[in-house]
Amino acid sequence: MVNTDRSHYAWRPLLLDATRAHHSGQVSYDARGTVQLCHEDLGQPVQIPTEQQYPCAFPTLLSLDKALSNSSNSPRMRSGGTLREAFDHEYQGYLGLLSRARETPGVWEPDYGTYVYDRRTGDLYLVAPAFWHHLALLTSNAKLLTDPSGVMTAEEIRDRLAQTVVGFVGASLGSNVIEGVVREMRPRIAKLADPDYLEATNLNRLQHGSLRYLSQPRACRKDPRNGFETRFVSKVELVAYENQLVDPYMHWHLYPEGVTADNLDQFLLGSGDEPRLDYVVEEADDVRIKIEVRRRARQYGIPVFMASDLGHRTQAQLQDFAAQPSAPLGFQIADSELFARLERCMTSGAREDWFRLASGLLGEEFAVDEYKKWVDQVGEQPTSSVPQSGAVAQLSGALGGKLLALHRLGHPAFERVIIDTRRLRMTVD
Amino acid sequence: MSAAQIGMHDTPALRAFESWNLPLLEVEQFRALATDRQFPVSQAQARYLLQFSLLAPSSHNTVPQAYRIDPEHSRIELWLRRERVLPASDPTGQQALISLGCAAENLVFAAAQYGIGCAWQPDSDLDWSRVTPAPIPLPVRVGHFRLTPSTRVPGPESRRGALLAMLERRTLRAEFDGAERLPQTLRASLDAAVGPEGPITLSWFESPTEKFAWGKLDELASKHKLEERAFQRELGEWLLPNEDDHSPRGMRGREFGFDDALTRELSAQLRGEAPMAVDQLAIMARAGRVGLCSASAVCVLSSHDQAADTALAVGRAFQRCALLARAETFACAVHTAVCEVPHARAMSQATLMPAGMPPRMIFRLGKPRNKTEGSRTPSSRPLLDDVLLR
Repeated sequence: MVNTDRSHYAWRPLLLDATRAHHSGQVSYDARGTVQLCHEDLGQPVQIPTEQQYPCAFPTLLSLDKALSNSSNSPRMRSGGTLREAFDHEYQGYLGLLSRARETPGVWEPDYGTYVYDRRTGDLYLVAPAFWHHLALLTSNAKLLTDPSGVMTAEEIRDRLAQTVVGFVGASLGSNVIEGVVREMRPRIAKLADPDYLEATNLNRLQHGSLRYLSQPRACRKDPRNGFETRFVSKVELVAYENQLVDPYMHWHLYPEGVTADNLDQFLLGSGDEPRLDYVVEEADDVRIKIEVRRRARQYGIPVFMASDLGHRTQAQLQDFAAQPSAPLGFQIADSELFARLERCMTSGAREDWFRLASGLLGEEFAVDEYKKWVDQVGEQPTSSVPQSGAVAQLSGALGGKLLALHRLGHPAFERVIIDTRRLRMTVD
Repeated sequence: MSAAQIGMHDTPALRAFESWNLPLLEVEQFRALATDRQFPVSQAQARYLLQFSLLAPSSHNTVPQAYRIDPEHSRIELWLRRERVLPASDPTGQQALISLGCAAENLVFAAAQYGIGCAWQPDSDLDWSRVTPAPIPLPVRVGHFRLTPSTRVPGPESRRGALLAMLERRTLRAEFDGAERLPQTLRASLDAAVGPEGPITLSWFESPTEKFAWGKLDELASKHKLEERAFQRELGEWLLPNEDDHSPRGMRGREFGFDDALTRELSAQLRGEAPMAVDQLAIMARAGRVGLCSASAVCVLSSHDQAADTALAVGRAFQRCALLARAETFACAVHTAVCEVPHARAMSQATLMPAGMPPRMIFRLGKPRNKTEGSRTPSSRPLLDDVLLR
């Protein structure tokens, strides 16, 4: 098992505790407000003009002030007080710091929060402390998610979801499930594996994809004038980076080479500071990897979730190998048959063998309506790859986030959930 | 000892595959063929050695070479039949010249096993304008081998291994076993075989990230090429039914792992005689990516020297690698798309190749994931008499 620190990558935002940064001189302001940032990772000191500084702590707390309730139903903390009381204490303290900073010559920011330096753009953010930043990201979810018996407190629910470690294999459709999971659960740690780079045709479904990431900047070329020297952007890096600009405190362990036979155990079981997974979200293109992920996840008792965008339908499947260690790898099909279909698919070169394998994972009749027309080659078909609806990809992600959060809180897993957006119908197996 | 005797039962007992049924002669048996010694080797010995040359791989199995035995000058001439250069797949003739290089290497290698020196000399007037496709039969001499007796004769085990490598070598267009690692000793011997000081460089790509990058670029280039109607048609014409038991050239579907029905269907689709599923070409292109990602190593031969005879040298270097790998039970498959699609070649040169070297040949080494794939039947060959010029 290879022990590599996978939480560092080129664009990983740099975090500096504001108090320590001010006192150590790592962050200092000149008379015009330009920040000089010193850090061993950066080599030379970096000058950051005010145009690239984003003080976010105050707006974060301002927003929480508006959102949090002081009613008798304000969630009770383990410390004894209510969440609102804890917030009031924090907020009053912060407002005082802010006022004093305003009145103290040469002081631009109080000793509060965390500086987040975006190495890609050179922007500097100052964000609220982790607890309050995370609370802001989750407050609107309120207590919509509860355990089946309804006994867990809001704080307990938040902690349980935050401590969940999810590993994502595949970042295209997978980025939608990531979005569903982080918005719903706000985990502290996640892993992401995908060997591919962003393509323009991914932009209908890849969350956070944009023109910024179709190519690295010209400066990355060895020959800036060579138009063929396109340096692509790794999907895992862009997805992790964009997510860390929402939650810079979140740790992402990245597998830009994708999961392989060699690193899959580390991905699932962790190594060093990298924890074991509670769930694998499997959205890989590589059919061997799809099945090997399931095989090893079952061996280690790790549940596997897969969302599929099948034309107008989204289909979510959760294989709870922790609860059912002898469950089949495919959908209602013996493992031997699934492996036979896999080998046939990989050796025959026949199109129909791919669909046979797909039905072994998804179930029979997975193709209906216009999607079936593509499979059957009826009518005009502009694309040579499997059609993927951007809207259904989003729905798949939403379903993934919701189902995983509910399962994590103890709700039963459904083997398969299908939502047909064209017929407005849902099927649950 | 013939191929059948050494257990190569995968070779059909048909005329089109007769070339593979080549006996492995001991030195004494080889010498006994010298009945008309007026040349460092007799006609019979020259013919025997050329049979090994004929087993070398060629683009689409076109076998574009011809030979002329010239006893008066103690040499064997190597010719290119320009009508066998593929207009759509190989408009410059580069792949054909690489194929001739492979044939040349087999001849040199076989001759060395019997203590015959075989020095290759490309013709001084060889240039790209002389190797482009021609619609009419038009043989062009590309160079010759000067044969000389040599005092060094390899031992019987070494000779048998070398000759067997040529007989057993297959281009294996199958998924490899990604868990197989290339032994350092094999890597070192391939590096030495290509020669670190020569005009050709061998670059290795073994990490998952590197193999994926080549695989993805190969997929893009293959898809681009497959979308060309002329290329499709040509590929369809060279993709032969598995039942074809007479064509001496071309690729049978089983060499790709295709069954009889799929081969017929795909060939017809490529020729434009049957409707093709919208994702069929993408599936074919993707197979290249799967192959490259599954390899123990992706290897690239490159050279800044763009001369035509360098393509021959690339073919020779490749074949040396293929034979050394075969001796260590590693198979290889060639991926030409990136080299043949100009924008993909430029992309690889700029982003994947060390020091911006232009790739001339891309191949992968590995062992088949499915062990039965290792014994796929070989491709057919013409008989030697059909490729000998008088």
